[in-house]
Amino acid sequence: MKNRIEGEDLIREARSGNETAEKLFYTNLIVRFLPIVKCEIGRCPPLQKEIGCTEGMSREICQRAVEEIKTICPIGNEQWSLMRAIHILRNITDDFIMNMLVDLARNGNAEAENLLFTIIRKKLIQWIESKSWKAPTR
Amino acid sequence: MNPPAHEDMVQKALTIIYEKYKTAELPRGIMPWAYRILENVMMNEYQKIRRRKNLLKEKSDTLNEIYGNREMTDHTFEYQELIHEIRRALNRLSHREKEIFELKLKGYSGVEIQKQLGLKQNIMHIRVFRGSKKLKAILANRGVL
Repeated sequence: MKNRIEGEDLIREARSGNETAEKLFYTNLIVRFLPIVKCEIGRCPPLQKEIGCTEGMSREICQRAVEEIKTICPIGNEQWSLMRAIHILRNITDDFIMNMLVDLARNGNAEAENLLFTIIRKKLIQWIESKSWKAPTR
Repeated sequence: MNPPAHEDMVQKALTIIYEKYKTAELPRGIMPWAYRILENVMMNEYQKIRRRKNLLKEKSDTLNEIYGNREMTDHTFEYQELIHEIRRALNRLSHREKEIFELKLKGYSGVEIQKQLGLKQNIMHIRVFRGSKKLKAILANRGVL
């Protein structure tokens, strides 16, 4: 076996029960997730100011997402897909960002409060519109 | 419901969220709580619409009783005249009584009217009682009832 296997081969190895391959796969996943999380945090200036260096925090979020993926849809599961994994990552990142913004807003950070309510408003409108699409079929 | 109504409901929910988020306990984060608030606002709006519909139905039932089940639509002369008489009668009530009846006709519940006008329950009951008594007398005097 090669020292470093990539893509489909790695997934096949991980699925066949090779623990090293599985570990490598999840490490690669964290590396692929890092830019997404950094980008999401970068969209929130008050958060970036507060955290300063986003590297450690982003890695922690990715780690948490990977733990969640391992329990919800691990690589051995038939339902595993990269899109599902990214979806889980986005949910966890969103939760993290919202919680941080709530904390900052509660401590009187006006910029964080503005951003928090802009995000909440956007999400509520999306939610209410998705509801109204479903309503006629009930 | 149309998008402007959605915007209104979201705005109402945001007002509530803004008032309470600083003290609220959010064990599952802010969004599930925010969705729940919006859901409650939506429920209230739907209930208001239902109440308004029921009120209209009640009104039309009363009109049917008064006019012996004759068909009356918004466009009939009799209906217009009746509405005119009711409005005229409402104008003869005191300002405080009138505002209660007008809010009721808009579909607000007793509790909502109380809150909006900042009244105590017993005071509102007294005003409603006196107002309906006056209305009945005025409408009877005009030959409506």
